[in-house]
Amino acid sequence: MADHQALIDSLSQPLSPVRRTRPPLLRALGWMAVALPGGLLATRLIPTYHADWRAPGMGWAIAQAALALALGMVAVILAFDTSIAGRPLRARSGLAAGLAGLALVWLATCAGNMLASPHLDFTPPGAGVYCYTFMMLAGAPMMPLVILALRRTRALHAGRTLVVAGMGVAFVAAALLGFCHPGTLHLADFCMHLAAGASLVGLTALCGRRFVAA
Amino acid sequence: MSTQRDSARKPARPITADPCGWPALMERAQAGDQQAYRQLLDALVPAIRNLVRRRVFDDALADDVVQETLLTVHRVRHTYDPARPLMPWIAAIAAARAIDGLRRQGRIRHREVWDEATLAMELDPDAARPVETFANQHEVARLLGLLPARQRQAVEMVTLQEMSVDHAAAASRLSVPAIKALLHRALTRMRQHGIGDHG
Repeated sequence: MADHQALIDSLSQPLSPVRRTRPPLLRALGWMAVALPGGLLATRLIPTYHADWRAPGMGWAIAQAALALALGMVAVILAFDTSIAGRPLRARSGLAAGLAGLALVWLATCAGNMLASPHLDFTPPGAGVYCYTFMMLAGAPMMPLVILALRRTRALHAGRTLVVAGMGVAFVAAALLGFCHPGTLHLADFCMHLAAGASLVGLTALCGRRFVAA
Repeated sequence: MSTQRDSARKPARPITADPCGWPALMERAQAGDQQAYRQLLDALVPAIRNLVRRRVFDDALADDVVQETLLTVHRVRHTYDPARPLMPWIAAIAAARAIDGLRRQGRIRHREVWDEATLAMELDPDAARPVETFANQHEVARLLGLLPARQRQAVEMVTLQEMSVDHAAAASRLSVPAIKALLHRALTRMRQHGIGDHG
């Protein structure tokens, strides 16, 4: 059997007080307060379209943006919660079910918007590229911010935690896009939104793993 | 057991056996109380070992995992909420570290090849060289013995003494095509008697 006393001595000798981690909701609010303006500022790097809120069919777009923001918030809370040891994802089934339910409603809203939008005879080349670029730019400052926030607590299951955090980043970026997007939504456009979301999730998981793993 | 051995060697530390007191000790440790932290870690070692033993059956690996768990507990001690029970927090860390340890061990076993001859070569690359040289010399002598005198002379000059064909032709007072024909016939004969294509 190994002698653990030497290790215990070395760990307890230079012990300094630590600041306890705040509840996930407060941490998520704090993250949102920094990430939202950061994402918004980053999108100023490209010319932005300003949505006409009085245009017909904007109800769908408003619902989409609001749902995306709520989804982002719930996902980030879930990520902060699951990063704490002893609080696995399956134990947070209520929050996870809420996230899944909201995601379904968001998908249904997107489908409704696509059906309500006027049919295009042809898809213009490069459709959705602006949306993809916008979401990636908006997510660019949010990703390091969420990784930094998770680094404070570390995570035993870094991969899972970062995927959920990446979903949060993707949905918040989608919510910001809602403010700079026409009310109508077409399939090519929506596919590019999903591609940008997947890219943000993948990048967050890939870049953060090294920094977040406990 | 190390605890018994250590207690004989060192002055005994008060160990809080009652897990109900552990959250309070952790709270004090979070505030920087070294004594409470040491007391808690002392008390946690057997509990962590029991948790680890459920997954890890190798003694050495189990000890490594216990130490990894203690290190992780230290690194993330600020994430513990004293309002919650301590054991689920510790159990989650121990389980994650045990799985990491088993994965690491699996990877090492998968990569490691236990070959004593290769290991000896790694430790002393020159160990097999004299035997190899002796075996090669013996084989070369056997094959040269099979050749007629002129063919053997051509092989010795061109292959063993690394002379050019021109020099070999001048030294043996033969033409270059004749040397090439002798070499060709010699190699064909040696192949028939067991030399590989690489030879």
